Amino acid sequence: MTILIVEDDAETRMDIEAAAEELGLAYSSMSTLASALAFLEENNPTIVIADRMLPDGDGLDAVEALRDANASTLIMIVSALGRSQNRIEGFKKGADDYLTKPFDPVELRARMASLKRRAELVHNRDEVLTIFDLEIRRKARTVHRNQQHIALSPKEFELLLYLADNQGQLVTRSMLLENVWGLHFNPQTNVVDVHIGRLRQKIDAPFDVPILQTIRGKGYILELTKNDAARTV
Amino acid sequence: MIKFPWNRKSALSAMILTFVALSLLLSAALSFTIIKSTSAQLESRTKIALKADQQGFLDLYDQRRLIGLREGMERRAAILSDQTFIFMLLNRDGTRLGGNIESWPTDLSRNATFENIELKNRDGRIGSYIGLGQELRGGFGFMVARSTDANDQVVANQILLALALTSILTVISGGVGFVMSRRIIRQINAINSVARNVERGFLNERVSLIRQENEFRDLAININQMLEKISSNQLSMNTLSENLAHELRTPLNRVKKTIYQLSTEVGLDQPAVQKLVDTVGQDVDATMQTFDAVLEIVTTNQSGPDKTRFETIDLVGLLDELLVLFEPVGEERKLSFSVRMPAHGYVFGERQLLLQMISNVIENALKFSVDGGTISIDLYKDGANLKVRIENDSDGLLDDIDEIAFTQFQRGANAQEKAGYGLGLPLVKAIATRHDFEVSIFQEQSRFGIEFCCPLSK
Repeated sequence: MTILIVEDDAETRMDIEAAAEELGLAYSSMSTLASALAFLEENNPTIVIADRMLPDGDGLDAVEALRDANASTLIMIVSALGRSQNRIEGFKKGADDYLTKPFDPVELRARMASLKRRAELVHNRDEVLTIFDLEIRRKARTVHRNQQHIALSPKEFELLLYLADNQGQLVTRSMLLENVWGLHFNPQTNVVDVHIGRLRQKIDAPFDVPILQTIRGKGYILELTKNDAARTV
Repeated sequence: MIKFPWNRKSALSAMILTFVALSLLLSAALSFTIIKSTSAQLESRTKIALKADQQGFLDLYDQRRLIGLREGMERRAAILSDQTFIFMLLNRDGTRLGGNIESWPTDLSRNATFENIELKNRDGRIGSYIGLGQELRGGFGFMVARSTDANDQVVANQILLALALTSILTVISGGVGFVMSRRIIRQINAINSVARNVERGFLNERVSLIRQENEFRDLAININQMLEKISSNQLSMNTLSENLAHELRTPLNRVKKTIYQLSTEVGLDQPAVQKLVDTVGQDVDATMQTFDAVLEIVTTNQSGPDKTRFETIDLVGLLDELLVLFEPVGEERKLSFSVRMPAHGYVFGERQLLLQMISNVIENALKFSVDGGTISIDLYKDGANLKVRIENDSDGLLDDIDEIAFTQFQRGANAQEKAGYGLGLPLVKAIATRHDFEVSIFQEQSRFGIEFCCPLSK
């Protein structure tokens, strides 16, 4: 699995490269649109991370070219153009994710990890997802834990499914707002926390071992804690 | 099918009417002149002929006295098969001496000069004549008269012909007027259509140029140039905003990265320092949120009439989604939602902007509602509009709220102790304006709310 990074700002490019290394991904870096398009003609990266305001054009042109040539490449835009209109434009052109600068490096890593997992899921999309004793059946839209059925509302199921598709990886609040509720702005209230709290009441509270973890100030991870993982082995 | 545009306010109707009226007037005037002239000429010729007839008989009388005159009358009467020409000779005592009528016409005087008379003919019809009368030497009465029926018939035929021609000419001129006016009005309508679409936000509209070099082509060129200028200015403003965003965000990005590095290097064993790092991080986030909100307001206002990204959206469906999102938040705060909505309510707009607009209002209600209160969401159709009212229980009336609510960075007295920068409602206003929605605030005793009036999509 390879990543193409298209970013003219050296510091931001280094941040993305560092995140790619942490995730164990091979990468190639370009700083202009022309060089990126030339690279894409010869290569087929799994993931592309592109800035928009490049010296010789808009990174969205590379997105469009990619979508015309290869529909399966996952694309994330990283840009200072962060208004909802800009984000919508990016998604309409074919981007799979859109991260606004300035970004939290944790957020960057979380979103890159999510893309990596999505790329893996493209080839191996399980009908049944299992996290410890929690079982999610995708098509049947059922959830069981310790063989007990858990009734979730449609939105709670989507929330859990997204967390499960990114199990073991940090999922930020903005990722949840975008992918579960389709909102490309940040509400002022703690809506995500409230919904996570409700989900937690159903899938964790009745059971001994919690699997939905909160990372303070960052987001959530669906996994066992290290202690619980060691205990339950 | 060509639809004939009959409309009091239509310039096309006025032009066609003018064509028709002018044509009618001209043809009526012309016809009248011709008929009058023809009638006069016919009358003149009849008089000349009559005079000649009279003179012929008078010459006979001069040459051969009464006997010659009587013989001449008998010969003439024998030749004539009808009574288009009548003549009579009376004795001194009024008895008939000759002619082709039995009695002197009652409405003809003895010394008549071209008098119009009516006489019953042999076949019983009343005929019109023009007659001359004269008393001959010796006291004999003598008259001649010619029928004007043929002349009258000619004039009558001419009148009929004139009426027919006038009618045909009127219809033709109406048709020609319609065709010519329609060409002109079509060009004006095309320009009007572009102006309407530009006013609605479709800045890409341009007037199609006609091939003919005339004033309309010049007008179209000028309008297109003006629209190019407006679009270009719009693009410059957008580019400026984007550059501003980029130039401000890039250094802030570095600050966030530094904070992250500090955070990881400091670790959890220095909680005081960690707290400071967290605070700085939050301040950077807050700065960015404020910047984002201001930028969103500015660019939304700038975009104003640009509706190229708009689409038909079900506002009811959108509100449904937001209720799923916010109801749990309300429950956490012991607030209940009361909702009344129709099945659908389609408006023309941009989905994310509308989500943000309504989300801001609901969050405002959640923030400022009194404990245990109710947030009411009421949607209903009102003619061609969809009314949206979102209101909450409040703890009293807010002074000057109408003036400050939609003003950036202004906050009501009840907001001072709550988080926020006074940008939520200004953004609501900017988005509403962009969508041609009217937005207003209302306060009624213990209720506070915001109402939108949204034109329904056609």
